[in-house]
Amino acid sequence: MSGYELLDAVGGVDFQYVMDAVESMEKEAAAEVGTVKAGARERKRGAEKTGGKYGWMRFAPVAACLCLGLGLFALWGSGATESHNGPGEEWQGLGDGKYGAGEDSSVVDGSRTEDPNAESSAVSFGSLGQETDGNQIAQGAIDWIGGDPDQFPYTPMISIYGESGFDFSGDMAVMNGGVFFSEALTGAMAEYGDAAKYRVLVELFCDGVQISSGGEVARSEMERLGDEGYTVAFETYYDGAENHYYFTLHATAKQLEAFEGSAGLGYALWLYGEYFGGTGLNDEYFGEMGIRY
Amino acid sequence: MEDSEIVDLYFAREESAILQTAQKYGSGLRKIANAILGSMELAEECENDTYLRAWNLIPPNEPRTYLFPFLGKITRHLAIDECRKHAAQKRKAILCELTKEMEECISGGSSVEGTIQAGALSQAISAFLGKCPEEQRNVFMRRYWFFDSIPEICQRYGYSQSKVKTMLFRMREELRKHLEKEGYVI
Repeated sequence: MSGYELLDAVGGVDFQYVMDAVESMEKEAAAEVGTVKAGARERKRGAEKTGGKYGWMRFAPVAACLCLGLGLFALWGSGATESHNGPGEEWQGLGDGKYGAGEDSSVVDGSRTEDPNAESSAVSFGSLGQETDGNQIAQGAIDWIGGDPDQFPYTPMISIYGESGFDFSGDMAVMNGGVFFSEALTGAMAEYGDAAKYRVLVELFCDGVQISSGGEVARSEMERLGDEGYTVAFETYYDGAENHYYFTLHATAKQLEAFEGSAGLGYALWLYGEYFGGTGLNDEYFGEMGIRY
Repeated sequence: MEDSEIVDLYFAREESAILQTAQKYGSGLRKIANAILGSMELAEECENDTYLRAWNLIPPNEPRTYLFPFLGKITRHLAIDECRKHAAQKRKAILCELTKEMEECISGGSSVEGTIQAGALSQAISAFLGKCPEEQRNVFMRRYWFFDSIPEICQRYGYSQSKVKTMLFRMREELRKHLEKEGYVI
């Protein structure tokens, strides 16, 4: 059976499906002129991602991130200033005249009268700033109000990098023993190195043919990698009719560089967000993704 | 003119049936043929052959409610056949890309050529599409029935390119599994 025959056979599918495809276009056209439904607005948002009249909207997530980053930076700045005094030093110094009048308007007779709780939130941001040294993706510590800033270390997880998209050219095949790293993944690793972890989607191939991530081979492969110290996640996506299975790793750059596959398999490694289409914003697949660890 | 009235003209053996068909569906049929053949001249020939074939097929067929799919099926078949005859030509056409994509749905190994009834294969594909959500089915049809390009589909439905590619990739994978289950792959 050739691609020609299959393509020709598609011509013989139920005519109703052809009519549906034509009618769906007509509905879209009606939506374009504003006569049909609110749902069209949602789709239009998708269209904006492709460029055109609303192409600038694609930068909205970037702008939002930038604002968030600037906000955090501003908070860090104020927190860093406060943290010179540090919560411990400040409150140990109460009444010893350390904080002279004029240095802080709230100091009366050499004693601070502020609420200590008001300080702690600033300090927690300050500790993040000190750890990160201005690099927002470096390792840091998460704290909640009143908590110990060093108690909850975290490593940022990279799921998307750059503009490169997943190439479904159809010719992708990794032969046994081979490991393919996507351009986005190698780019992210080069930029962030060990300062981050990488959320990687793994496709498995056997003799150049992709095999299901829900099968026994994939399962044993996940177990093997889990035993080797990788954080392995098995994810499913339900499309309304059946489950789709995905095999992902949360790995450091060192782990990925040292990645060794089984001899009888080929591997394609993609950044998670890259595989599922762009940033995933407004992408229903992200919304529908049910993750099982 | 309504499809049913055009079909009446065919039944009455009125030559204006072809004129009316061409006026209503000519550009759509040419577009499909052109997408496959990559040549407007050949597409026009294909369109004319479609009218001739339709003239011979109606009656006994009576596509009152599905005239365009009926004609489109003929056009696709003629154009694909033309491409198959002139294999070198396919390299210039989108068909090359689409046949490659379709080949993902079938095994590269042993062939069951000659034993497959085209109609049965179409039915198997129909059954598969029947299980898909309408949104995905429409995208699949636009790509593999109408031969729309990915940007065209994005423009029509307002999806991002990556979403359309992802959707089609998953559907091809599912179609391959479905055809395997149906015994189309050895």
